Amino acid sequence: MTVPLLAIDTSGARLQLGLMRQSDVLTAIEARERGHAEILFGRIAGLLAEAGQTYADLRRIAVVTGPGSFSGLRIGLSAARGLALALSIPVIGVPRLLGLSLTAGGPGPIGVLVDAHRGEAYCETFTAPGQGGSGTALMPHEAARAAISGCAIRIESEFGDIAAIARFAATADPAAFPSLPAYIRAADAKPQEKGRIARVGAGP
Amino acid sequence: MTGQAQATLLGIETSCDETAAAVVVRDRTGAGRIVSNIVRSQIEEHAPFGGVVPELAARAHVVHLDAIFARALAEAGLALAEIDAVAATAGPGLIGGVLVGLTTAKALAAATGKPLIGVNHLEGHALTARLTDGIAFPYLMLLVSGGHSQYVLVEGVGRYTRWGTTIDDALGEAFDKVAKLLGLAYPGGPEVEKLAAIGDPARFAFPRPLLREKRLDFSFSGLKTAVRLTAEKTAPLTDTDVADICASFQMAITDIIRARTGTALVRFAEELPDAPPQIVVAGGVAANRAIGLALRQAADEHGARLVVPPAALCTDNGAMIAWAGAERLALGLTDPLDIAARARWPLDDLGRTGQGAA
Repeated sequence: MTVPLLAIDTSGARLQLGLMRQSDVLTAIEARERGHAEILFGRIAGLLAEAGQTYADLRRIAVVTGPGSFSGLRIGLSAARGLALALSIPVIGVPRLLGLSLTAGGPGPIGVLVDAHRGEAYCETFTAPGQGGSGTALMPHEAARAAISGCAIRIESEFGDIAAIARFAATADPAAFPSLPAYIRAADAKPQEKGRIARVGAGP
Repeated sequence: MTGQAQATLLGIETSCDETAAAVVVRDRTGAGRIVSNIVRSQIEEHAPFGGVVPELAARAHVVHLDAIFARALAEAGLALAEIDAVAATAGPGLIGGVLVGLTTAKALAAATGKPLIGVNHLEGHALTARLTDGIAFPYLMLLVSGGHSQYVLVEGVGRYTRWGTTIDDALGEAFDKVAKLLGLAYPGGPEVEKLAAIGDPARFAFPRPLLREKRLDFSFSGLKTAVRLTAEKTAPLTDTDVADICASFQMAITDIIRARTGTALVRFAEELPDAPPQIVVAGGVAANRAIGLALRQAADEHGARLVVPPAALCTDNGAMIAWAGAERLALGLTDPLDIAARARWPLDDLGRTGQGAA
């Protein structure tokens, strides 16, 4: 177990922070649709002060990698990677649905579903909390619900338990949990061909 | 005040399609020196789309930025602890990318206890000539890039007055759009310039919007539309047609730039009669040789000094952000860790607030 550990979750409409010292985790959670980037470092400083710690005391960073708000994910990842590099400590990337599976109170299989808007949902099944994930998939809402219908425990939520995420990350192998964004949903970008004027010798 | 101390700055730039970081030293005399300057261009990521896709740009920044600034530090032979302050572009620009660079800079500043300077990207361009040529205030800046086309009076750090801007497309954008409709490779500016060199600039008479007006604003939308209509009328286009369109378009642009710059220099002489006339060019379009020549002609005609920084420092880079950060730090101007990234942030706002964190 590597502590003190700072856990950051900016994947949803909340800023969730957790500071794990020994077995206890101090948390700071607040509703936040946008603007995580403005308050993030003030809240981290507050949490560190509350715990009587400084940045230099940190031994590990954890960050929720997604899916979620594209910009929110990048804010969390930029902060986590910047802190980790500056402090020369490892950073653990925790997938959002894996984080949610940690809240399951019993044995699996566990099905996790997160609303992705536009009539779609992210879903994944786990054999046990934090284990045996099938890989996060994006599909129509009804299909996602069907995909997890056979699971003993079904979790439909937006927010993982940041304390549970911190505890998970404290023992996770950094090599197995890279701090790379897990957007799942593709960027909205299509090659543009319209408006081009015909050239001699070119196709119709 | 830390006015006369030497300072070493790390600068981060992520406001468009370059992921960039640099280390710059500002010495006791106010002279600057680039120690390292790393730029990773995203041209390949955006080429299939014929333009910068903001979400793709942000996705590339977050994956590559830490290796880029680690390389900037490594090439400088410095540890992060040896940096005096961290500067990052806080706007204006594509907000997703700005957030990546600014948040990373905040993390570095928070973890090391070093000051943060949120730099206005345009101020970075505006102060580059002081880094490269040691130019003294005041001077006029013409910024011509894919996102901006403006004349700015630069009277000091944080003291900027915009004299003119584009009322529609930026100049680099106009080049790219013309290239796109002609089916040229991305990025289009250099392609248009290449073909313009072999085309007939007198074949098509394209408009010079706003040229007879005294104000210093640009408008390139009408010109672009005229190019489209001409191209449609001439289609299907031969290679000669395409070259002639490029040459005629670029001729219209150089006429506009030459005349507009002349007007700006006349105003400079009127408003600052005691100052030696000086004009500095910034932005990617400054690399266009025909435009450079037009600027040289306008400067010579009005007895003005023309400063064109090296091309690598005209386009987006981390050195200009580190340098602007160093200039601000020397005046004791630093920013809190809750400074917001801004998609829009006119340079004039810096002058009004002094801090630029309005």
